[in-house]
Amino acid sequence: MRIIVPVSFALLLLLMGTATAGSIPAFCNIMEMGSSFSGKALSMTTITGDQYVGSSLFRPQTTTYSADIAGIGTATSFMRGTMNGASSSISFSQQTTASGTIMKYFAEYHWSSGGSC
Amino acid sequence: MCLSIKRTGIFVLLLAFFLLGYACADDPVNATYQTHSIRTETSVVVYGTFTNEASIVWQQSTGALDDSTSLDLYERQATMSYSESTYANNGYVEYNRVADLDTGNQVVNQNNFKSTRQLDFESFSDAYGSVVTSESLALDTVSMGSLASDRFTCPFASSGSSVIPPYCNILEMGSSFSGTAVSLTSVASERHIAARADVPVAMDYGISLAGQGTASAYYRMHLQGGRDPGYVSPFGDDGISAQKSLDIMASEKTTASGAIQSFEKTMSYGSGTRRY
Repeated sequence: MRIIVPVSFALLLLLMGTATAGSIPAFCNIMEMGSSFSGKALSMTTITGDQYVGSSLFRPQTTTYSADIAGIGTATSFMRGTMNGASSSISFSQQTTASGTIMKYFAEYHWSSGGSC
Repeated sequence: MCLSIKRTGIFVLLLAFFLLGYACADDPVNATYQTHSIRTETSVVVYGTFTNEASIVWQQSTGALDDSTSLDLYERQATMSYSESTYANNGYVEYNRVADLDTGNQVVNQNNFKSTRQLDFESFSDAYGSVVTSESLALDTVSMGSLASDRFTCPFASSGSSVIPPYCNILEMGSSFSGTAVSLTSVASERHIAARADVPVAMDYGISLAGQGTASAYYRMHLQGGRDPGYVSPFGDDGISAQKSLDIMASEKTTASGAIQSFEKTMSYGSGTRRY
C-alpha cells in the first residue's frame, strides 16, 4: 500500500520602509523560503527562523531556512525574493527538486539585510 | 568496445584564457546604505530525477534607478546576472552547490558573488538516462565618468588624470553539458561593488569535467571607453554626452563531444584604474 505523506513549510517575510529626510533610504524587500515532500518513506528535519524586530538599526534582519531529507518520493525546496531600494534592485530565485530514492537532500537558505556603517 | 570509444574520443582538452581589461577601466559602484547577503547551500544524492534552477538579476546605480535610459553626469550603473539550470533523469545524481551574494563594498581579494558547484551523474544501465546543465554569469557596467579626486584612496592614483573617463563594458562567461555521464565542477565569481576606484572590477569562471556527452564553455564581451570626461552639452538640448576612444569585441567558445577525458577552461577578467 502506498502512503502519501505531504509535508510543506514556507516562510514569507515582507519588509517595507519609507525614507525620511537625512536618514534611511526607502526600501521594499520580500523573501520566501520553503520546501515540500510527497512519497512513501521519509525522514525529514526543517529549521526556520527570522529576525526583523531589532533594537538597533545596525542589527540586520535575517531569515533562514533549512531542510534535511532522506526518503522515497519527491522533495522540493525553494527560495525566491526581490529587494528594491532607490539605487538598487535585486531579484533572486532557486528551486531544487529530487525524485526517486533520495539518499540525501539538504538545502539551506540564508538572507541578511541591514544598514551599513 | 570501451577501448574503441577511448580511441575515438577526445582525450585531453586543457585551455586557460586570461583577459585583462586595461583601457576601458571600470570604476566600481559603491554600496547602498542597506546591504544584503544571500547564501544558499544545496546537497543532494538521489537515484532517479533531479532538477535545479537558480537565477539572480542585480542592478545598482550611484544615482537613482528609474526609467530614464540615459545616465546623469558622473553616474555609474552596473547590472549583474547569473543563471544555472540542471536537469538529470534516470540515473544516479550527486549535486552540491554553494552560492554567496553580498551587496556590500568589497576589497581586492573578495567577491560580491561566488557560486561553486559539483555534479556527478551516471545513467542507469537499463534506462536512457541523461543530464543537461548550463551556467552563465554576466556583468554590464556603464559610467558617465567620475572625478578622480573623489574616487581614490591611493595618493598617487589620481595624479595622471583628474577624471575617470566614461565607459560601457559588458561581458558574459558560461558553460553547458549534455550527456549520459559526467563528473563536473565549476566556479563562478565576480566583484563590482567597492567604496573606491582603487578596487578593480573582476569576473572569473572555471569549469572542469569528464564524461560522455557534449561540453561547451565560452566568453563574449564588448568593451567601450573614452579618454575625456562626460560633459553637458553647451547647447542645452542634447543632454549628457561622451566620446568613445576605444572599442573591443571578443568572443571564444570551446566545445568537445564524445568520451571526454578532461575538459578544463578558466577565464579571468579584470578592469580597473589601479591594478596589481
